[in-house]
Amino acid sequence: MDYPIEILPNATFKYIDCDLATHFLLRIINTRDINEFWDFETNMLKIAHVCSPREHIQDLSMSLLGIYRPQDIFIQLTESGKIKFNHYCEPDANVQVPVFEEEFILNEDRHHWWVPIDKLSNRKFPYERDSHPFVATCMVEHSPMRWNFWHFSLKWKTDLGNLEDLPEKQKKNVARRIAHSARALIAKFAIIESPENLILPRNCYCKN
Amino acid sequence: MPAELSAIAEDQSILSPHYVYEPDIIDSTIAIHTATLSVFPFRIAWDHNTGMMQNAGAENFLIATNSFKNNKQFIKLYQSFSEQLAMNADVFFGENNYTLQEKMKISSDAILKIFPDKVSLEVTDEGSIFYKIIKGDTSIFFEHFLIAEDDDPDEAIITVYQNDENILNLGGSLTEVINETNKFFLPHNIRTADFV
Repeated sequence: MDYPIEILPNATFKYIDCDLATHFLLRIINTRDINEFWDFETNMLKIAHVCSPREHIQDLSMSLLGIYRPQDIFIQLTESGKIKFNHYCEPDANVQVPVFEEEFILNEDRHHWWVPIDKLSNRKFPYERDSHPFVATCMVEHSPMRWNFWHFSLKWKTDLGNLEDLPEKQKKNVARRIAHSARALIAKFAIIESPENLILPRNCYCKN
Repeated sequence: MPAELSAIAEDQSILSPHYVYEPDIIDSTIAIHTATLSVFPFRIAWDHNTGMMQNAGAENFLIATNSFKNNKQFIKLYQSFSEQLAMNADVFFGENNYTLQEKMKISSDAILKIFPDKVSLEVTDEGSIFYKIIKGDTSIFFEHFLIAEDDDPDEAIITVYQNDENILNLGGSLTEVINETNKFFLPHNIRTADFV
């Protein structure tokens, strides 16, 4: 089994600099049983499969659909593969190709959901009527990793500054509200039907 | 809670054929309908509840005015909650199940007041109930945190979307959030037919 080298960082690559509003992000779920992650009553993603535990919402790993294809979700790094490849890197980093069974395996007990980027990026959640008012903003960032150039991070910022610097009780309240907003946002907009696979023009991610 | 009450609570299954329930716990709809009803000495038979108001006379039962759909939704939510509570026993270690179930009834009752088209819940690993509600073109996400700290009141957070637009975000005590939810939804949703 060969690793799909088109998803690896490459000396000719740069950070993606095109508008991605019409594109989709994909997130892997560690089960292939649709009943486990999809709520057929409301036809929405189950909250536990947005992210669990809650802390993961601060940096939720996703991949940009396009060159990264749905079948790539089955790639799972082994423990030694994680040590070597599971790190953020520059888009043009020089990385080796992971070796099958040593550094990655295929795990077919997986599924995925999609979410349109324009429903997430720069979405603001004003908690203005709270005792400690603030505004949370959802950020979509291209964050290449040594195993996946198409890796994206869903992050959150607030107008209160660094979450860690807030007083303990306020920090807990703000973290709860961010986690709630994030779960609601993703449950609202996540889909499981395959969207149109838009391939980015090369000039969006290749130097010159 | 007194031990004898706890024993009674554990004895009773809400889904059992002749389960009866005190109106002051479940009849918030009735409370809107008429103030006098809330002081009735009668008890409510869920299994007989067809949405029509009747007095069963000799049995001393009063039939609640909640719609049958509402009751079915409640039973489904309650069943789902109880199952998930059992599966997440470690999250609620040291908490009294009866108290948790009573807390769930408060938030689910508030939610069912807005007559959702669809509703489901998930118990999260942070000890909260996360409700997803659909009513027409509105999606409501209501989270009730069941484990309070330092004798603080229970917390809740609500997020509302109309179509794709986020129109409400609010966090606070459960009471505050329920009150705001009621202000937001009930003026548009109380229909005379539901209460007559």
